[in-house]
Amino acid sequence: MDLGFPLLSLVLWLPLLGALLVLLVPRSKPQIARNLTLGVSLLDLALALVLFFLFDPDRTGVQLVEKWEWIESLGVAYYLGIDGISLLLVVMTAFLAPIAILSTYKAIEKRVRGFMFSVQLLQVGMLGAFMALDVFFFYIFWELMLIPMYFIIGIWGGPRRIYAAVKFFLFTLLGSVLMLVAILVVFFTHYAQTGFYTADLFQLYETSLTATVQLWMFLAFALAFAIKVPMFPFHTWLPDAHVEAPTAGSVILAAVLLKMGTYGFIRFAFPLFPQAAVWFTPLIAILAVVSIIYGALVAMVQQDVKKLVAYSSVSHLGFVMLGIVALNSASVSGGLLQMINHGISTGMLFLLVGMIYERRHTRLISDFGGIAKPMRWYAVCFMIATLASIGLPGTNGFVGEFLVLIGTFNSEALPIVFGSEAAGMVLAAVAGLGVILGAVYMLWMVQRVFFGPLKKPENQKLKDLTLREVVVLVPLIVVIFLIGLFPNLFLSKVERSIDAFIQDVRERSQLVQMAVVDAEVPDADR
Amino acid sequence: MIPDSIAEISASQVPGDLMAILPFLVAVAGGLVVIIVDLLMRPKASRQALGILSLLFLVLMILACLVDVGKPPEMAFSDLVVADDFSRFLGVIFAVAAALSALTAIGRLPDEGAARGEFYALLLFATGGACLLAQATDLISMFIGLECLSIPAYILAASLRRDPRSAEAGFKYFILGAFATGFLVYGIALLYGAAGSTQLKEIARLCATQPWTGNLMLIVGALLVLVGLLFKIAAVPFHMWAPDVYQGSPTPATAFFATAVKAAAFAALLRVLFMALPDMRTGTAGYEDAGWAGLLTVIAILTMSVANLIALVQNDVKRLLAYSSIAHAGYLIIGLLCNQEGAAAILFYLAAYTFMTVGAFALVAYFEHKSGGTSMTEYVGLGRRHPVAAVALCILLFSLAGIPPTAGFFSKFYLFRAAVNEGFIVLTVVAVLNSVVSAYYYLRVTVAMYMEDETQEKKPAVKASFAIALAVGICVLFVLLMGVHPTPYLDAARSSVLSLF
Amino acid sequence: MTHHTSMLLWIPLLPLIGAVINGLFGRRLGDKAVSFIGCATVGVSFLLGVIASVKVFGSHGEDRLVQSVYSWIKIGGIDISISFVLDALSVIMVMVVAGVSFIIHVYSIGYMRGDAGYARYFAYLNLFVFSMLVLVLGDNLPVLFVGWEGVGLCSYLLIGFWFEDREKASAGKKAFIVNRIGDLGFLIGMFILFGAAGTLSVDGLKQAADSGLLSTGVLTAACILLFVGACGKSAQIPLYVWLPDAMAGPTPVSALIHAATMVTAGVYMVARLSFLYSLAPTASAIVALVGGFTALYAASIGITQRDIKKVLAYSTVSQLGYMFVGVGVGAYFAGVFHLMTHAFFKACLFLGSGAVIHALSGEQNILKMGGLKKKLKWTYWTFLISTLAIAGFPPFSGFFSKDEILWKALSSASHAGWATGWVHLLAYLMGLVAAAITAFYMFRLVFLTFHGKSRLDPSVHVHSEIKVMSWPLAVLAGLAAIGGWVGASLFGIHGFAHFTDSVLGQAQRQAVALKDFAHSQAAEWGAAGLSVCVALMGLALAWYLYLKKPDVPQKIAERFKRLYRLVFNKYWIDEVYEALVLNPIHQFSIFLWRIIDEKLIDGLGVNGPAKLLRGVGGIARMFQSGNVQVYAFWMFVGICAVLLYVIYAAGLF
Repeated sequence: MDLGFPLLSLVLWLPLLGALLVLLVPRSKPQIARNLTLGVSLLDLALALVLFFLFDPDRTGVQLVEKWEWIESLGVAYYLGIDGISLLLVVMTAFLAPIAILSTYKAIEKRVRGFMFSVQLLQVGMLGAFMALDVFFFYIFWELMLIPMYFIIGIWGGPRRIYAAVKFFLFTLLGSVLMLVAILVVFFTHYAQTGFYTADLFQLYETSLTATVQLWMFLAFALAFAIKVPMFPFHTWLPDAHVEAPTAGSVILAAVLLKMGTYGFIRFAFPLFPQAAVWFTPLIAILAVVSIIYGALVAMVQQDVKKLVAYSSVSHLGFVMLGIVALNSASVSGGLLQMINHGISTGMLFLLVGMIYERRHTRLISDFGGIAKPMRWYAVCFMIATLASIGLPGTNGFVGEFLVLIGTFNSEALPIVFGSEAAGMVLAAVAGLGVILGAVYMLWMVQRVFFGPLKKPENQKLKDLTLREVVVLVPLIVVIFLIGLFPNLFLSKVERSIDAFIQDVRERSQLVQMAVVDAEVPDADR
Repeated sequence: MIPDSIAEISASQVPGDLMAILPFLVAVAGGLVVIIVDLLMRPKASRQALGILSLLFLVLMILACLVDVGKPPEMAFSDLVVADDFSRFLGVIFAVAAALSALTAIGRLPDEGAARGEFYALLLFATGGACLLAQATDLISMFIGLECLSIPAYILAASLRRDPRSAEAGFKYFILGAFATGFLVYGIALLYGAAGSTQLKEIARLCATQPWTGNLMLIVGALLVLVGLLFKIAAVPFHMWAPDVYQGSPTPATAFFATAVKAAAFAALLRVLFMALPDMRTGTAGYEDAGWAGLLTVIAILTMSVANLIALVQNDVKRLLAYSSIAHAGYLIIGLLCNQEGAAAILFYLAAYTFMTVGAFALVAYFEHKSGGTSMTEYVGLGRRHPVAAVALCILLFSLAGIPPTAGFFSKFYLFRAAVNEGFIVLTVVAVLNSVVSAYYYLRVTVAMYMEDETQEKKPAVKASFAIALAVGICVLFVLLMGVHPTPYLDAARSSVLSLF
Repeated sequence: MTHHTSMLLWIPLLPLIGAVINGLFGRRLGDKAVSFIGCATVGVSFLLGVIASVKVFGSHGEDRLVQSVYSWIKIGGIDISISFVLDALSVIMVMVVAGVSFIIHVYSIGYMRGDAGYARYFAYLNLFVFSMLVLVLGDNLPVLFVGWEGVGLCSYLLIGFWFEDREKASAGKKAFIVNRIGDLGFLIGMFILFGAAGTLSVDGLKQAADSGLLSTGVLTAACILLFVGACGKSAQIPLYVWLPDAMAGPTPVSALIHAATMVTAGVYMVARLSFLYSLAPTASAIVALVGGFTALYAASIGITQRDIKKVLAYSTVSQLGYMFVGVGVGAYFAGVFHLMTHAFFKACLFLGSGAVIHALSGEQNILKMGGLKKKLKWTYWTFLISTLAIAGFPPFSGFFSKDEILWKALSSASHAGWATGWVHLLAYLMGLVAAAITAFYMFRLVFLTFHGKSRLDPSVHVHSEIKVMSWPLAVLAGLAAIGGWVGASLFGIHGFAHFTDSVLGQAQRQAVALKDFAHSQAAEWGAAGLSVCVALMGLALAWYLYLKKPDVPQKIAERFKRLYRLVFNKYWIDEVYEALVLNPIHQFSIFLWRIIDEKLIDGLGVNGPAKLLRGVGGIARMFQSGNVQVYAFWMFVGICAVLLYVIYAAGLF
């Protein structure tokens, strides 16, 4: 059921239209620019929801495909399409945009038009990267995200914004240019094998590369994605970027941009180079677990709430990566769900931090204490976000973490690649420590910020949430419980796609053969 | 090879020959007209009208190039020059670069005390020289074209007579240029000695019949020609003149040097390497490293790396762009290694590069005018004071850095694509890493414009110059257009290089 | 027989609705409406429980009601549905939970009167009841786990209810985190079972266990890990440390959550999975051993505590230890039996202590009480009854349940294999000693609080008792007094064991220790007599030390100063944790942040190359001297280099 109507393109380019319209708004009327942007993003969300309901979960493969020639001579096509995995990410992106925009109504006062322009351009980049199925086309969106984010951090950010913005830009660029070279290599190898130029991702899947080439190519892709995720030890741009970025920037950064990395692994690095992916799985799995623990430990000793949440992202994304490499339907779908969850709950935490920052112009934990008293509802919302973040059952976080861990624990792939029966179990158990540490750092922070005596006079006068802020937060809370209680709404959309992914990687890597060999050895002994 | 007898050229051939070099003729005629009109004008009158006049001729020149596009190569003047799509493509690039520089000059020169007619005349002469260079199929005509291009350029560099730096720039350009020309001429002589002809095709044919190995005269001759041209494109280690000249010259002239002159030199390089010395590319059997492939790889890496590294520590935007243009020459050299696709990539790259570089220099000229300097500190807060101009500069800088969806990205992409296709993976990796390094200093400019806190008092805004605005507008438009819809330019570049092979 | 019903969902859902209403609108509704909603929802859900139970009761526990609400998580091979089951075991739990909750809700109306967070309190309390009911009704482990973590959350919220007090908020956090440590064990236990059985529903696991699908290794590992979870929730060594601190919460909370219901969840879980534990003797032995040791250890700390609630807290830990001895030796019904009676008398004791504290405007130090017997009559008598129950005096409920456990431990010791028997015997002995200590410190508590001369601060005015608080005491005391007769096996009443037989019986018979159980009436009487004797000794000693010669304890404390301080400071366990676990982790984290992140990765890995490149650029720039001769020289050098390179490479020299 592919529409005759380019719905994906509409969802994709609508924000660009909005961005251009914003430029027409006179500088003296920032409110119009804000409302316009909000309106466009809401419209985009509505279209994305149409997408969600049109999507047929019972079909394998990509849907709503749009493919036109673009630069025919180079084999680059305008090629959009979504499967269950990208569907969820697209919808999440569209969902968070209006929330992020609404949150800036008071926070962004200078150069409003520029901000609204950047946010919408960013939106185009993110949506495009999730929808594009031509590798070059994808790459263009991938890099397109850099510029607006760079300006969002650099212009509207905090005191060290310049360092953070430049670091963000260069870090990500470094990763992506190597990926470009790798894309070219695959592209030409495919050409050499088939005799026609195409950058169609699914055709490139078919390219047979020698093991050595695969390893190098995978490394190039993995570096780009690992930086974006970010995985230890490529994560240090993240705390800086998060702390300095304005609230909406942090929200988008955490909620969507980081997912580019994990999405990249699922859509590109693994299926393009399955053998290498399997070969690198032990390394990635270990780095993922290290990220989980490392991020949590470092988060624990942060003095700035925002930085704490930033480090917690490193930890959460470690779960996602672990889920992906464990390569079974529970773990991968858990990882995917965790991508969404992290977007929702961490996004919400950043919004909440932004709200208190607007009031007090500080984010240092030690500047607070006891503010649950003057800010009751704020505290309630913060607590809900915290509980979602630490994966309390009933909230979204639990389902994701549970699936990742149970999948990892019982993974068939991990024992094979590690050569040890206990690999999955050990990894899951160590990752499980992250669940404990998550509670430690979050609750310790909550305690120091919200509980205890209300000593500081500035804190006593704090105002509780405004109506606008409530409107910003309520949708997130609803989604937290929606996913927590009815995850099947989302899981059912991705099941097919994830199974296809897993089967594809398993079959084309040597994993299946490896498993067979493993299974045969004891037989021979008998 | 000198024609047997000038007399042999029949009268009937002459109009055809002249038609073949029509763009050159238009440019030169334009230069002459400008000089004459200049003489007729009152000394104190504004020379902007001359700029507009020269624009007219440049537009004519573009038309002269475009009108014949698609026609088969046409030799003229006893095979000294050829009119092919390659020369037409480059002719358009030269004319566009010159026109954009002229527009910048119209908006800018009165403030620099160089509001004289000869600026435009020299610009036109140089453009004509560039055309001739691109058309040359003989080492002699190539040399003539090169000098026709260079000598006006030396004068242009020195045209700010009251500014000692400008005089110094002209002087340096001249001295070092002459030095390089000396090598070039020597190289031509050696090649002629070894091959017995100055015709590019002839050299190729003769070389194919005799072994290269041990043919010192041939190898050294080829290398000296190469070195002379590498000087023109400011490749490391023959680049040292460039930063000083680019910085000291009046900014419109700098824009021209960085684009048209460089493009012309690349045209000559392409002709020499692909038409005269194709066999030398990979050296000969047993001596693979001796060819220009190995040498150019080293020079390409050196050029981009050294230029990018030095650019990192520049605090003057004009000088920074000078280093950036050196670095771009480094990327372009990669194209020389990659045969047909590489040549096409070079042409596409040159076109894109012309727009982004001239645009950037035009904005430097504009801001120089507004704030009185080109130092990075002068750029602080420009994003607020001149929002449109600042946005334009951002787009151009991101294009120079190679970020999509700009022409700069696409041209790099196409170039690297050719390189990967030929198996130059390591070289490509070095190049992309270099482009990351380069992003840092382009970002610094945007940081200054948008992110740093303004400390100095606000300068009064001055009315924008329409001419510069037009130039920048055209540049930005094409930078975006070639990034989003590159197909027509790409196809043009690809068909233009066919005549080289 | 399994019956499907749509009624079960409402049992937990009603309190949740109450929690949501009170939480969102409570402040505007006013205290009366809040109390009504809070109590009524729990009350109705108790009644629903009664109605549902009638079916189960009526058939001697052989029926079970099942409701599958919807499919919760379904992906790949995982299919977890939100479903509830009411069988003989969960009936008991629902009755205890909903019943005691209702009583405590009513009591809270008086206790929390006038508190600024009145609505919030009831919202939390209702939320707790919801979670606890989900826990006991859950038909599969994940749903059980939802309740399991939910009660942990409520415990966190209620301990830190008065959050302005940093200590209290901190205690809440500690409870949550220690619970989480246990929960990780629980989670991994689940993963193991899922890996082996492919399902997490209780029925599915039972089938897998019955069909021999689960190897002993899997069973042992899973059971031990699940027990780690139980240790966290039910405050067993080494994860008991949060419970004494949890007394920071309002006293009704201590009664409900930290005595009667939540902390028994671990015991319930082991009983629920008895079919697994009975096949894993090693794990069961560990359960029994940890339980026995905890019973003894916590009781010893109870001797020295001065805070009325702390004494009760340690006694709770100790009593939970008994329950684990029960389920550990395979006498699952005995563990659950004690769970039930303990809920009655411990809730009553806590509520009584709450009444005392309330009457004394917040005083909790028993050394500053005394002689309250006359002023707080209701409180005194109910407290005394419950103390007799907990100390194990017949015919009060605690006697029957505790004795059942001790007797099963002892009798199984002689029948089980050598290793297991040794463990059971040890557990029995620890339990017996703990029984003496329990009697001692409980009567110490009674004597110091209610008897003797008043040591009250003269400024303290003793408030009179409030009716709404007294009735619950009476009800609970009544249950504490007679509740044990449902399982008075000593007198041949096996009602409790029979009723739970459909759920626990098979496992009980399977459990290695209880196989071929030889019943000797005389031995059982003898063991019971011994228990009563040691309890009497404890009572006598307490009487002697605290009523007859009140100055002796002081002297003893001084005589054995070191030992006393060790016990008084709870064996310094908190401090040891702090020094050996928390501080090193904290220091390590700072090291990771400041050294690895900032110095190594950022400094050396990121900024280092950046600086290096700029440095190289700076050096390269120096060649750019501006001097034209120098330029010409370098050009010349360049040309020479090019020529040399090519000539060398071409092999011309």
